[in-house]
Parts: sequence; C-alpha cells; structure tokens
Amino acid sequence: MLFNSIEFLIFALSFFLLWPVFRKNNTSRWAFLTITSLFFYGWWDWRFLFLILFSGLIDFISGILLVNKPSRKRIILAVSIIANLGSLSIFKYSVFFANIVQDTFLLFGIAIDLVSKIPQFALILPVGISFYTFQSLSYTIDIYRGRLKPTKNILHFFSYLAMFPQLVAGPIVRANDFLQQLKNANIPNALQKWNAIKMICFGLFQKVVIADNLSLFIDSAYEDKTSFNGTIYWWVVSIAFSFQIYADFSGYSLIARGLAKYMGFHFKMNFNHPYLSISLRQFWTRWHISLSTWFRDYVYIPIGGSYKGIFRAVLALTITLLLSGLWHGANYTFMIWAGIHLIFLLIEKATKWNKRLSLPPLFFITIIFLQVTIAWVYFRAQNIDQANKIVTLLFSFEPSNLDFFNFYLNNILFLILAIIIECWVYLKRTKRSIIKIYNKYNLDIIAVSISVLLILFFRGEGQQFIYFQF
Amino acid sequence: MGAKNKIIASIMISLILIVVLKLTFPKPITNIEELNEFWITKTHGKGKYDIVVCGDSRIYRGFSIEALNEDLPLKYRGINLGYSSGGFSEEYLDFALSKLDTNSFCPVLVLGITPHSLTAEAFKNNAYHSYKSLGSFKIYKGSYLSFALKHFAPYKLQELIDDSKVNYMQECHSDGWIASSYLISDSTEALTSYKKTFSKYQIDNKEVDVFLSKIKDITSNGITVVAFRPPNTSVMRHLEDSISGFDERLVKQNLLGNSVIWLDFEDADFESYDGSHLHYKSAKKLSGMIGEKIHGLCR
Repeated sequence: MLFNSIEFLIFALSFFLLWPVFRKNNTSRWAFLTITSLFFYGWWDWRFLFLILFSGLIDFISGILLVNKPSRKRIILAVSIIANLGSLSIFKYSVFFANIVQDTFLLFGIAIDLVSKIPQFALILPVGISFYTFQSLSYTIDIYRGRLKPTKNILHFFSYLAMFPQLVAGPIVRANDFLQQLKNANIPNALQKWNAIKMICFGLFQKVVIADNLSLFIDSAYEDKTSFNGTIYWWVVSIAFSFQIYADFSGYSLIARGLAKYMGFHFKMNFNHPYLSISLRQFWTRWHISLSTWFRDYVYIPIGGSYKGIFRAVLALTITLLLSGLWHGANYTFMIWAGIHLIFLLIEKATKWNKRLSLPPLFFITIIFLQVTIAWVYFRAQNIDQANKIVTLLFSFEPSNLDFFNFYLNNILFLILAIIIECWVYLKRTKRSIIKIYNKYNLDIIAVSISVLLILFFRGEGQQFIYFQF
Repeated sequence: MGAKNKIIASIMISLILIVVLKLTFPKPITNIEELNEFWITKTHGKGKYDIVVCGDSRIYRGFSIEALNEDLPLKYRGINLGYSSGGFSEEYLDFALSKLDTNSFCPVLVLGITPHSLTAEAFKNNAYHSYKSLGSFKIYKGSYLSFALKHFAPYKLQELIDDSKVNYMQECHSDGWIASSYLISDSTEALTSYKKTFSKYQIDNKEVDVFLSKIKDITSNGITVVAFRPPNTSVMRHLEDSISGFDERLVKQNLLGNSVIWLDFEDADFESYDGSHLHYKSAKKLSGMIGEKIHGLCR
C-alpha cells in the first residue's frame, strides 16, 4: 500500500477515524497499532508477515532473556543478531553471495551452479526488510548495552517495530525513544496537527510532483530507451536523479513523520536539505539521518570511531560506508557508490580543503553536490559498465543533441522547480528577512494549498518509492 | 493566525484553487485515469464476443469494432484485445479465447501479425501481464471509481505552457480501440526505434512453432481464424522484412496450412501518422474491409 494511492487514503482515513477511540489505554492503543500496521504490510504480500513476526518474536524474547539471564547475555545477543542478519541475508543477499562463491570457484577452474539452487521464495525481496531488521536489531543491542529496559508486553513491542508510517522505508526509529512515546496517549494539539498536515502535503508534493515527474526522463536514459546521448544530456540526467532520489525518499520520510505527528508521536528529522551541505561530512549528517546515526552508533563507534588514532578512524569509516553500500543493495554498484563517498570523505578529512579555502558557501555547496551526483550514477546504473560509460561521458565533452530539452520539457520543468525550491530554502536559511515575511503573511497556508493543487493535478505517473527495494 | 484557522484557511484556499483550475484549464489531452479504465476494462471485463481481435499497438490503434460493423447488415459483438508490444504466446491466445463466445453462430479470432509480435520479447507480453496481474483493489478502482477519478486526471505542465508542442491525439473507445493521429504526421518517425528494436530482438522460430501449433488447435475446434499483416508504409515494411527475420510468405503459408484465412492489403491504400500506426481514418477503413470479409465468411 503506497502512501500515494487511493488504497492508502481509505486506510488512513479509516485509521484516523478510529484512532481517538483506541488510543485511550495502552492495550487497545498497542493492539490497534499492531493490527492496522500488519494489515498495511500484509496488503503488499501477506506471506511475508511471518518474517516480520519471526524477526520481532526473536527480539522480543531475546530482550527479556537478556535481562533475566545476564550470564548468557552474549549468546542471546548472538542468536538475535544471527536470526536478524540471517533472514536479511537469505532474502536480500543470497543471489549476490552465491554469485561471489561461483566466481571464486571459477577462478580455480571449477564451475559450480549455486544461484539456480536458491529456493524461489528467497528471490523475492520483502518490502522494507532492511528497515525493520535494523530497528529490531537496535532494540536487542541497546538492552545488551544496558541502555534500554525491555518491554514485557508483546503488543507494545510490535506497535514499535511494525508501526505503519515508518515500517517499509523508515525513518528507523529507536526503541529507546519510541517505546516511551507509545506508553502515553498523546493527543495532538492544533499546532501539531497543522504541522502534521504540512509535513504530509510537502512530503506528497516531493514524491508525486517532483520525484514522479522526473522518473520517466531518468528511467528512459538508464534503461536505454532513448537515442539521446552526450555530456550535457548525461549531466542533466544525473542531476535529475539526484533530485529524484532525494524527493522520493525525503518525501516518504516527511509523510511518515506527518502521519506519526497526527497520531501524537514524534519521529526525528530524516533529511535536512542535504544538497545545501558545505562538506561531505555535513552531507552525511543531513541525508537519511536515521540510518547514518544507526551506523554511527552500532558500527562506527564500536569499531573505534575517530578517537583511537587515524588508522582506526579510516578503518571504521571504510567498514561503515561499505556496509552502508551493502545495506542499500546486493550489487557491486552500491559498493562503488559507497567507495566514492569514502574516497571523497578521506580527501576532505586529509586536506580540509573546504575549511582552508575562503570562498562563498555556494562554491562548496556546488562542489559537494557534484561529488554526490557523480556517486549517484553508480547507485542508479544497472551495472558497473553502464555507470563507467556514463561517468566517462560526463567528463569527455561529447556533443549532445539538445533536442532532449524539448522532448523531455515536461520533466525538465519539474527539475527546475526542484532546484528553485532548494534555492528558496537556502535563501530562507541565510536571509532572516525572508523568514519574517514568510511568517508575517502566513505563506505556509499558500504553500500547503498550492501543494494540494499540484499533488492533485500535476502528479507524475504513480511510482513505487525507490527505497522500498532496500 | 492560530493553527486551527490555518487548517481551515488552507482547506478553503485549496478548494477555491481546485474550482478555479477546473473552470479555467482545458481538459487534459491524455486522461490517464480514462486510459487506466480502458485497459482494466479490456483485460478484466466479463463480456463474451463473436469477434476477438489480437495483436500489438498496431492493432489496438488500428482496428475498430464499431467501424467493422458500420456497413454490415448484421452487428457483431467484438473486442479489440491488442496490447502494447503484444506477442502471440499461448497464454495470450488462451486469454483471447476466453473472451470468445463459442456458442456464437460465428466465433472469429482475428490476428494482426506484425514482425515484432513474433519476437521473444513480444511473447513476454509485459503490457498484458501488467494489467492481468493487477490486484483486486486496482481492478475495482479502474472499473468502478474511475468515473470520479477522471476529474482529477493530471495535466502535463508542458501542454499548458505551450500547447503547440502537443502533437498526439488519441481517444479511447469501449471496444478496445484507441483512435490515434498526429496533428502533424511524420511517416518516418518510428523507423529509428524499430531499427534499434530489431537490432536487439529477432523473430523467434521456436516460439513461432508454438504459436502455429496453438492456431492449429484453435481452428480444429471449429473457430474461424483470420490473419493479416497490418498495412504500413512501404519503407517500414522494407525495414522490417530486411532486419527482423520475418518472412511473411512463410508465415502466411504456414497459417494457410493450418486452415487460417489470410487477408492481404495494399499499403498504399492506408495512411500511417508515425510510420508504424494507422491514422484513425485508415484504421476505420481497414476495419470495414475486414468486417466485409468476416461477414462473407459467416453468412
């Protein structure tokens, strides 16, 4: 069930109609949230409900055992991690790992066929598996570390793990924060409701107006359905993809946050205008914040972070980024995407070029955006060869047939709109007078109303959210 | 302004903007909700027909049941089941047969055979599958909610800014036909994309054998099968014959050997607006001509 569908509209309206009735006491609130969330997930494919239930049950029981049997803490944690990462590996990485093993054997002249022996069911990627697995993992790890007390109520646990707004594409919420919120019957006030409506409208605008209107232009380029080529063409495609993936994912997160807010909960910000970053380090504190902080807390810092010498810091950063690449998908292209970020980050860390040069912030913003855009090529490309060809074209000054501007004008207009909006946000952040005008004349009302109009009449062709595949 | 008033104000302004837009903007040139309804009804409709027409986009843009019946004394119930990049796979033909009323006095299956429809790529029938595999809610939505959703069909920004750029005209008909034309025709436009397509995909002889064997089964069950190659520009015909691996003479011979009635048409009698698909006037003409032949067979 996609947020941008009629099914979801009916589901959400029914949910919010009944929510005031069920939110009054803990048991009914948790039961209602759990049942509706599992219904939401099962709508996509009910067969995979068992997976989330299995993963959740393991962690729920592990959480209790971690406290009750402290002498066996390590074994219990290991069971939880193996069960979670095991199911993730089966569904997400079995083909990838089988190919690696096959290729390795082939190096020694031995041909084996593992891929065809993988059971059919394991070839389907359950929606949102990476998100809820990480959320579930953080629960047991935090209990193991003594930072969280386990809940003894299974409905309480599942209403945290499966809560529908963030279930399939984040933000990855932490048990530490959210289990507590779930204990209270928060009734949102008018201001919170208004903020929730703004988030939902702006999120839908980002998804259905910006991202969906860019998709045809980008898909036809990457799927080789067009005869257009050349340096300028691929720069426009690449920049368009940077905005598509941002609008798509940030849009989803905003809608999720808005829905949660309307229920009376608070999800932390997941995107903070990452393309306005003046360093790559800053970019990673603004892009998919819930995942970045997850990796920071459960991978980067445990390895040593930046406090145990330069070698350990580089090692920690390398492992963290490569795991992040692997998290996104079982393909070498994601590893290279992460590798490019790693190289640029190490250069930035070693040279501190962005701190040494005294140039206007716009210069740094542009450089960081270009770095990120080049890395996205590997993220979007179907294979490494295609990505290499595109990156070569980006820097080879190959002439382009500029008719593509005319052919894809409808799509390119939305790219221009996306750029204008980011420029507007930049101005809002740098010029106080603009915020004053914005607040004085209640321009948020106009912004919401125009968003509604654009969502209804200028939406692109309905597409699945890109991050569902992760 | 308080938050509550802001909510009320934004609802009011949104409603005003929607009304203003609906009153001032023209109808969208392509209503995707209407198209959605068209394809879902075509695929999931419950009707049974005397004539079922199969093929790819040259068929769903090039064959009108309404025009077929126009000059006939007897009216046939028919449906055009053409799909984008459709191919004559066994599954697709079974689907077509399921729509055919075998109790009809003259059940006829009409096949519009293009070179592309005999490639392995076409046999995947991706467009057909995308509609066939829709969930029950989407089918319900396309069948019963589209009357309301049609009013919220999205616009193309480009069309509003400069409508001179709009060249494609198409109109969905309940018989499965999309009447199509360009304001400014370009009979060479499709050549480049077909060159590219046939450099990737060729006629698949194995699949063609399966197709022929299926057709043999169909005709042996007493169903009349009429086949033809949709007329096109001579340049496109030459291109397809030279690079697709399609041998019309052989296909025709094999089909005739399986009791299929083959119809030949002169390309010069018809007009294509893009070098691949028939202009709606030519589509009507072709349908009328085939209607006469079918009526002659059924009389």
